[in-house]
Amino acid sequence: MNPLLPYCEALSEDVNQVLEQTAPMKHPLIELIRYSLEEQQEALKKLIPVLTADLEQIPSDDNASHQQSSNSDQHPDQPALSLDQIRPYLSILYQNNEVAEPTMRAWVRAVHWIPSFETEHTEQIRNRYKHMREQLDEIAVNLREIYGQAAIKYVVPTFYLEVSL
Amino acid sequence: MSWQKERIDMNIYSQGEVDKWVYSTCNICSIGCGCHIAVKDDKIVGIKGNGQHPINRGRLGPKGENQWYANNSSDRLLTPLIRRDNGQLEPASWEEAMELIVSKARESLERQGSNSIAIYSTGQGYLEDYYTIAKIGRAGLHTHLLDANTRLCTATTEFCLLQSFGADGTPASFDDVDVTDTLMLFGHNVAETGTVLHERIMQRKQREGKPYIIAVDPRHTLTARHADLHLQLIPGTNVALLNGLVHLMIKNGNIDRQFVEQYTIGFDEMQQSVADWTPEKTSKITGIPVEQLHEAARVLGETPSMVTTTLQGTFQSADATTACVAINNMHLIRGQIGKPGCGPLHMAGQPSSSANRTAGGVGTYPAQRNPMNPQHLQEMADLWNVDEATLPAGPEKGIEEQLDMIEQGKVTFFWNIGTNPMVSLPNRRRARKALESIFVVVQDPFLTETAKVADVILPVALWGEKEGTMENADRTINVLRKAVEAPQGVKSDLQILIDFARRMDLKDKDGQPLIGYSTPEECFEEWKTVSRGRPCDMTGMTYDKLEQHNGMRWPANEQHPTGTPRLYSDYKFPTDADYSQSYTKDQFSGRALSRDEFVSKQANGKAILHATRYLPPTEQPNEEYPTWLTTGRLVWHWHTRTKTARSPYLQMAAPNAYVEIHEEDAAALSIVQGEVVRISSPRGWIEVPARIGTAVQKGLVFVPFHYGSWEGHESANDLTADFTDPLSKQPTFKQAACRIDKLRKQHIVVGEESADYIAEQYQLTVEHLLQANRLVTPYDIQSGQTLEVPISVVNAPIPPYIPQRG
Repeated sequence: MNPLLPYCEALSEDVNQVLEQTAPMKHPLIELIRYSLEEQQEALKKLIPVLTADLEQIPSDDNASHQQSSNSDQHPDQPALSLDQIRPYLSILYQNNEVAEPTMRAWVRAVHWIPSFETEHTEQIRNRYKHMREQLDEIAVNLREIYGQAAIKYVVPTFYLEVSL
Repeated sequence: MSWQKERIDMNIYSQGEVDKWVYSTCNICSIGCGCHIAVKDDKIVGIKGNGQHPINRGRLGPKGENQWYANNSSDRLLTPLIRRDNGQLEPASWEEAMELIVSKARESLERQGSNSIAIYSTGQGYLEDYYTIAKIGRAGLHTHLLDANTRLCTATTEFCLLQSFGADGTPASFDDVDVTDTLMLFGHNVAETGTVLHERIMQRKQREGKPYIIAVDPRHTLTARHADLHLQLIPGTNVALLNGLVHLMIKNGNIDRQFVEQYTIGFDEMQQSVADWTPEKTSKITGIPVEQLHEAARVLGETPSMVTTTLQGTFQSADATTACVAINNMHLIRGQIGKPGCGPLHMAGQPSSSANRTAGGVGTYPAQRNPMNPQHLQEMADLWNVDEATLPAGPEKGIEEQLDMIEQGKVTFFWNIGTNPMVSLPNRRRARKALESIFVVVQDPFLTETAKVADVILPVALWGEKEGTMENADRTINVLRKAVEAPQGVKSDLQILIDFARRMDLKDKDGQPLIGYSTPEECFEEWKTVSRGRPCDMTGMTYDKLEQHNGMRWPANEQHPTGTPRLYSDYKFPTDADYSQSYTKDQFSGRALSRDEFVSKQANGKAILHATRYLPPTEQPNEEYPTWLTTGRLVWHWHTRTKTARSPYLQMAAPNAYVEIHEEDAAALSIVQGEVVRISSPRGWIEVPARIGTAVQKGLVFVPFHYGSWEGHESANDLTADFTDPLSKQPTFKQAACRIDKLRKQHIVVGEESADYIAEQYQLTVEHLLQANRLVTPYDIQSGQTLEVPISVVNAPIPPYIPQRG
């Protein structure tokens, strides 16, 4: 099994849940959050089948040269997928989270300030985002192990991978 | 140029002749007026305008004329301060302060990694400072958390330009303002925020009757009063208005089809986004009558030339970047860019905020390099002689996101340089709580409100006490010479940064010091090599040339030895993926697009038209808080008054905050002129006198943001909400919900007490007493009646500034 798959599935569950919970809500920040979630949902719909199909644990010939050149500490169970095959989806997942996470926090403040807004699911949504962040952190760690820091540098934002001097 | 003749504005206080005049540039607003500093007995004793400088021909604004008083203020900090175990800030040596900073920085890096350090700088420093911050931050500390108060004033300029044209740099210049037929001042109260530019505009207007001026502002400002057409829209509806105008321009056939086809992409999507913005729908949302919309669209659609300026009314509003992109769209579909008298001129707030963007101290990498482009980071690595792998990549984080990170325990070291966030940030009490929880370094000439959260304060040199360059709002680079030595015990920002790099032992790949220069001019020479070949190429500049030419607009290189007054005159835009400063963002959500997504747009040198979707403001008046709150600037003060409050003249002109209330709203609440009222929002409250008039529209109040002492209860940012624009991450200071509450005592009329007697008891006028109680004559007062008495009535006049002095 591709090591990214369980995290992406968990992420997908979170995305779907938040979309469901926010569907009846009318608020400018919810519009922004849902826009990002819908993009993430679309990306996951395409990414999960690709990861699911990636059952072989041996790199394909196409990928070997790329991996050799870009990664000296490859994952022992190297997936057959090249980073290029999943890069577009990963980019959408991470960059949407980068904008949606602060928007969600702003929405939580907004709800607190104007109590007439929908509040029933506020805590649940906040927890979902926390959980989504954990999945993205895990995906980042796995990506680094599989493809190497240099290869994922422009896919995974720096804030998901601790860098020390 | 528009100026027919020079006029040397001067403000000196000197017994006897001054010893010398030193070449400089005004350090207040973003216009960039040339000036000379008067020096006597090694002290700054005055200022005069530079008659040869094309931007101002000797004129200065009121703040510019009075900025030098701060230099001689008796409360200058002259030694570092450290917060001791007793919680007090106490004097310390530079050695102790710097070693403490270095040890805390190291500790933060070791414990939590590079992105645990944030540097938050300014728009009032010099380009050399910003470039050094970029180099130390990115190549030395490897942090991606470089931001500045430019986020509050000018971030939207950068991101709207990246979206439409692929790189920063405002296309038009002040020269275009001088020759344009139509000038749209969109959320730009130039009469108060850029007095010299306003004077320049109005002198031509008086002479030639041009330009036709359209002012877009929810307030009837001094600028709006001089306009031919004032579109007084409902707060937070900028994009709605622009969509309606573009809709009409398309409908009226005011499109330069050839230009659109040859030099732009994205027209169909953009057109679709405005398709349902009929005048009726636009009018309903913006509050602007349909006839005015038609008139504005007619003027904008038929004018042979047009310049549109924007400032905080656009940048600090909902949909900030989308509004500015809609303005770019408007210019592109009319082909009005790159030609004399044409183009968007997105302004900046501060004197050198543009330089910070250009030099990479905030936002993207230096010299407009894309932080998501591996080639660009490799270039920077080569230029700095460091390993590319250590340079952080990806989109930046704004100050509000950094506060989020502090609250989450991810940032533990915050270096605040030349700004006063405890007055200027929205919802400032949240920001205070966050910053109190971590180690904070504050670099400032004075003990500001931000000292409350400081662990170390470093006293720094002011304007006139150091050398360097600034970039104004229209890409002009000006040089500022050092007039006097900084007071003993004080260092320049650049000296501190270089010292920090040395103490941190920051090195390049060869083990050489990362910062190899020691003077501003040496720094500028290194910067020039970094700028080579980029849109902001400054290889044709030197300090001496900048002085000889009285400023030069970038690019200035072999091809353009004296600079470039106007960008895109060849209609080639920096949207090639390998060259562009950004792969752009999703125009609605702000998500950074990947290279593949950007390449698939196939811009390749063409400008990009974007769909402009309207999103209403996050917070709007509601049952509990039924009034719009907007905040802004006065002609008499600059930002948080760190400098201007130290000028007796400016301080006397506007010593306190106030709230502007429409006369009908005041009448409905029986509030009297000058009555101290409480303004509350979900974040906090202030108590300030009411200024009643018609400058604000009904249902809206205005509070100037300059006043922020912790004791005074007059800080606008105790009220504002910390929501941000999705693309530029600029806070929306201009829209929040609030409530007006009267502060009244009760007085029960006893016996024969007269109106005169009662009013005198409370130091009121009879007129105020009657007005506060909705009474018409003194005889309406009856024994046993309960009267409401305002707890305080304060005379809060703001003298008018008359910029057109001839």
